[in-house]
Amino acid sequence: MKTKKVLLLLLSLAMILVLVACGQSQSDSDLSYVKKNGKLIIGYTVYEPMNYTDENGNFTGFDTELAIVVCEKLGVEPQFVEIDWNTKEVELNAKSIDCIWNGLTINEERKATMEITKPYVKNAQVVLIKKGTSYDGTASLIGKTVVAEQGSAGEDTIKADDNLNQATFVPKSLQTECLMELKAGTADAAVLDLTLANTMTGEGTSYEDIEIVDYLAEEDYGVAFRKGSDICAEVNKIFDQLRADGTMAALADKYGLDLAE
Amino acid sequence: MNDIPVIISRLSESFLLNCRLFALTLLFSLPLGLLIAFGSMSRFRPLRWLVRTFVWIIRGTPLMLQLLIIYFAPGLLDMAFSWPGGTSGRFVAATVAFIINYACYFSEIFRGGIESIPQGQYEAGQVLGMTKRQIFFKVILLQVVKRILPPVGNEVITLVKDTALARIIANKEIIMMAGEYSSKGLIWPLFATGIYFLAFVGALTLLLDWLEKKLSYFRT
Repeated sequence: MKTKKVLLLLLSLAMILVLVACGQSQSDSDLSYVKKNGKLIIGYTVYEPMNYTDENGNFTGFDTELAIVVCEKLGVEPQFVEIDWNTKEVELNAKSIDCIWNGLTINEERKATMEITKPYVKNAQVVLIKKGTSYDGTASLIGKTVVAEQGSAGEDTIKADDNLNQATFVPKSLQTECLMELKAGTADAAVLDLTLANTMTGEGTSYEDIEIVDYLAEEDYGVAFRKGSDICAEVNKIFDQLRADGTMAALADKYGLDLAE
Repeated sequence: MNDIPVIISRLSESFLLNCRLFALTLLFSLPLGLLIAFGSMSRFRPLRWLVRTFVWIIRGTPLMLQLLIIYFAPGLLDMAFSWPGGTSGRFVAATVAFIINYACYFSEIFRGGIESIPQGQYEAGQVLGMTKRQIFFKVILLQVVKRILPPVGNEVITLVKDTALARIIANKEIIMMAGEYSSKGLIWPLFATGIYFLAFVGALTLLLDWLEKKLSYFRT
């Protein structure tokens, strides 16, 4: 009987130990960590024209092609991993990805938590409404319902605009849901990325009756690395080279984007 | 990419992930649940206390949060253990989270089932000279299985729909796949996913009904 009790106690202890993991892994520099792995794990979400699968089933896009070129220069293999945009910072810190390369808008908050490259592509935040609604500047949305993705640059734009911050702001977990709200009539206007708004509205989509009526904050895209990562400086250097030799301009042309100054 | 046949085949392909997650979770959480049920009924108090606390934590926190913790904690806390990179690690992490979560729910159903068998049956077994093991497997368990089938069926059906939660750690299951289309401005694939879940649960309901009929032994 006594041995049985001891056994049970040991089993209980083992269960506790399973819950308390141990061990430490330290690396001196992020660049050597990535080089040691031989690959750069790139977090992305499906976002035309940055990262998407084309008609022939090939994974492509501006960011996809650019990342492949940069990785070649870094001497590592790119590995693209689809992530959930809401947990991108956690993914980065948990080292399940090494960078976020997916049309990420540069802002002060993000600069504080991540190491972000120099701007490489320009974007704008745009106001979208249902066709037939009257719109005469952001002032006509005072007291109306405006949607944007939670924590997105769109939300920042709404908060920063003197008229839009007097509207009722409803945060959504996805940019795409914002257009659904517009179509369903549960919101009066949405503030979204220009690049995304271009691909999502117009002919052949479910949102033919939604239009862009205003261009607000201009913004820049950057690639985000872990805070303090030395890969960032390296990628900045490569970006300079790619600008100088025209590679970047050619890519921007191909996907209809504007390079940042 | 926006052809209806292409979309349907991609949706179906991603629903396989839901199905695999469903099957693996059931396969492992049912036996693990029985083990946890024994732990929570143990006469050895520290073990019973520990197991019941564990069940309380798992049942008391959202599965979505558990998925995030199980997948990200090793990396965030710099543990020696880490999930395999790429998509496989995400699937394994989700499977582990689902197994633990569902095992805890199943364990309580099992406990209820086992405790519902009258004490007299154990005593009768002892009088007949049966060992404890014989009594449990030959007398008790068969009746327990019959009694717990409806509540277990409930959990199984919930599990089908819960598999959609795996997308929180970017497992490309059917709703995440449909989201890819809604981000391109196409809404219907998202709502079409409901048909897959409905069909799956429909088939499952028939199977559970059949099982219940099959298990109509010991009818008095």
